[in-house]
Parts: sequence; C-alpha cells; structure tokens
Amino acid sequence: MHRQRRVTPSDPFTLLRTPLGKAGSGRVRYGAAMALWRDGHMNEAQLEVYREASAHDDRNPLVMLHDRGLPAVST
Amino acid sequence: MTRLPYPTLPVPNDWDRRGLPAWTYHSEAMFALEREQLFLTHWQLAGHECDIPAPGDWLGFDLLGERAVVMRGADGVVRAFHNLCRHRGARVVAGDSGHCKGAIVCPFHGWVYDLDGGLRGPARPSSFGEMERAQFGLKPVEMEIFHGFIFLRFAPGPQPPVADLLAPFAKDFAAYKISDVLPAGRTKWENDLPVNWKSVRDVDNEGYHVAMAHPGLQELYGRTYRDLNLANGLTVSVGWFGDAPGRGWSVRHYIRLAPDRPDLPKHLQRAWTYYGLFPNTVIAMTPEGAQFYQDLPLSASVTRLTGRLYRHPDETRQARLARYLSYRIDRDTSVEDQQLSIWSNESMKSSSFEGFHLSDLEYGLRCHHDGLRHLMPVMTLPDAPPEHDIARRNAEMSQLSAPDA
Repeated sequence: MHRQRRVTPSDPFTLLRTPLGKAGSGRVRYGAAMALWRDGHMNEAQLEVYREASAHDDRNPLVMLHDRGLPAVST
Repeated sequence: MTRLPYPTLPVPNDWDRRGLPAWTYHSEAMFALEREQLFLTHWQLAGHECDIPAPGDWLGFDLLGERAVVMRGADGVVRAFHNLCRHRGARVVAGDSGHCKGAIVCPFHGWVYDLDGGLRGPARPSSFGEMERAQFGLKPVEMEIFHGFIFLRFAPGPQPPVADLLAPFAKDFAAYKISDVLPAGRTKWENDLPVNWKSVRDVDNEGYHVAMAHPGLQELYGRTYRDLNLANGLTVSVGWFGDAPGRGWSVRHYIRLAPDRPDLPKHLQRAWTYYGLFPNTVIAMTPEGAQFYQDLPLSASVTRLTGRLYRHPDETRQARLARYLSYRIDRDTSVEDQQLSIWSNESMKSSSFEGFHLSDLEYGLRCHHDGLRHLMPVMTLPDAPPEHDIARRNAEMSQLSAPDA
C-alpha cells in the first residue's frame, strides 16, 4: 500500500519548491537539496546544481538540471 | 524609607577611596588581559527569547574576536554556537539578527547545517572522502536563559550559573513578568564611544552625579534614588517617581501617564529599577517597559554602547506613550553620560591626574574595581609595568594571592 508522505512547510521537498524570486530563496532550495542528498533522494550532481543556483534567487534549478541532462528530484 | 528585599553590602566606615590607576584605562596590554581574564570568561547578555520567536530566527553576538549565533531550532529550542563554519571558519550568518529558513547555509562554500547546529552536509561532499558529519557540527557556546534573557559565556569562568548568580533578582523579575516581554519596535541600538569601557562603567555605577548632570532624571526620581551593592558583583539601583509633578516636558507627561502597576510589589511600584551584573551589563525596568544595556569593549580606547528595548504584551496606548516618554528621558541621560565618560577617560591622560577620591555615594565604583583587582591583581599597581611585562606580572601576582600560595 502506498504510504502518503506527510508534508509540512519545513519538509525538504516543500522547501525545494520555494518560489523563485523571493529573497534568500536560492539558499532555501539549496539547504533543502542538501537534506535530500543526505537522505538519499538526490545525487551529488543534482545537489551541485542547486548550490550554483543558490546565488541567484530567480534562477530556476529545474532548467539547469534539464540543461545538464540531469533528472529533477521527484517531489 | 522603602524597605528593599536584597541582601545588600553596607558601605564600610573606613574604606580606600581610591579608584583604579590611570594607566589601566589606556594600556593595550591591560586590555588584552581584560579580554582573556574578564570578558570572555564572564556572562554576557545577547538578547531575549522574544527576539527570536520563530524556528530559524537568530541573534548574533560578537565580542573581542569571538562570534556567537543564538538560533531557535526547528524544534523550538534555543541554542548558541560559535558563528564559525567548521570548514574554514567563515561566519555562517552575518549581521545582528536574521532568519534562516530550514537550514543554515555558509555563504563561503555552501556547507549546510541544520538549525540545531548539526552538519547536514558539505558542499561537493565526495571531495572530502570519508567524512563523519557528526564531528563537524557548529561548536556550542555556553548559554543560559534566565527569565527569557539569553546569557552567553565564551570560556569557563568564576561566576556561578546564571540562575544562581542572579537569584537575588529572581522575585523582582518574576513580578515584572520579564519572561513575557516582547520586542519594542526597532529593538537594538548601538553607539561607539572613544573611551575605555571602564570609564563608561565608572559613570554608570554611581548616582552621585545625577543631581548635577541629569536634570531629567533628577527631576524624575533624584530625591529618592539609591544605589545598592550586593555580593558577586551584583548591583541594584532604584528611584521612585511621583513625589513631585515635574516641570520638564518629558518628565511632567511621563509622571502623568506612567501606568499604575498594583500587581507589582510595593518596592517596584512607580519605580525605575536597574539590575547590574559584573562586569558590564545592566537590565533596567520601568512600569511600562524593559531594556538591557551593556558596554562592549572594542579596544582599549573604544567602547560600543549597545542594548535592546522591550515592552509588555497587551500594552495599552497610555503605556506606549509612557514608554516613549521614558525613552526620551533615557536618550537625554545617555547623551549626558557619554560626555561624562569622555571627560573622565581623557582626564587620566593628564600628568596632573592623581586618581579618584570617592564618596560613600560612589562605593559602587570601589566594588566594581575590587572585582577587577581580584581577577587581575596587576591593576593594584599604582605605576604601569612595562607593557611587555604586564601579563607576566599579573600571573605572578595572581599566583602569590592564590589561596594556597
């Protein structure tokens, strides 16, 4: 039976989807990405994309992942 | 005269009325000793829990090369860490205060920490080979919370735990409900003064000058003001207002608007009370608000005056007006005190300066200076040793005065 993951505002999957453009959002997404890497949901290449994107609050990591042939993390 | 519930030290009949020698206010070597033996080993006040209400909220506290961050974790618990990334020591947060949403991200290379200080992961993790993340969390700083006030200490020191040290204040703090205060607007203020920190304390540690130098305070409570010295470097000062209507604009309206506080014990009603903690911190209470202020030394000749302001929850409009008026009175008092600190500090550079001759009303200075002499006995020397020899002389004198010497 598929168990629903309990989603909270502080859940890394939720924080990974922090809207673009908000001040500090790049680092929020990167911090969440690190949690997902730690928990085995993201590989290091994907993590590095979020680190690079973290300097730009309006830069979309999903576009960068696509450009590099990397899959997005399933949320 | 109002009875006060504090275990007060009496002013002796016969006491040495001299202050510290002038050289201790200008010596770089003495300042280095104060850093090591005093400031980093004694409790400092970083803020109040209400300054960091939500998970991820943080306060920064820098002192003489040490840097702390006080963070409310995702679990709601307040913790204090050295503000140093375990990678290469960069500040993980910058500024007086802020908010980290979900994680602490070092701005240098991107190491990421959980809000409880644990290392979530280094940037480019495979570039570190095998790495035990548990060994690289942010290093804790000793912290205690007392009635909401957050105290830090960068190194072990002679003061007992804060709860024990400030026990004489506990009933008053409970009566004021200090735990429940809230930030008052833009809460933090700071001002750098070109004086040695002891010159600031020398002014603040006595009320003898109030009648002459603080017309506002004198009018407010000068006739009733008292300074009390307690053991362990604690002081209480209190002035009761309302015995006269006041003529100055701020004082006159403040007396009229200050809220009655029948919930407070008699000795705190219509009172401004100041609770001092050795070496450099004061918590001040009025019927309508609270604050703390402290003197943070930046160098032997520069001191940062800083503090934070608080209000009570469910503040009425009248209380808010009174709080604004008390701020106006305090603002003038602070400017006056700053000038006095400058004059006091500069006097010691004169060849004609022969030291203080203190009044019984200035016994608080003696107590404060004695606390410093006890920790750093080289301060008892009337003439300055050579700068390069001050630390050695102090170590030698400390050993001689040790209990089993």
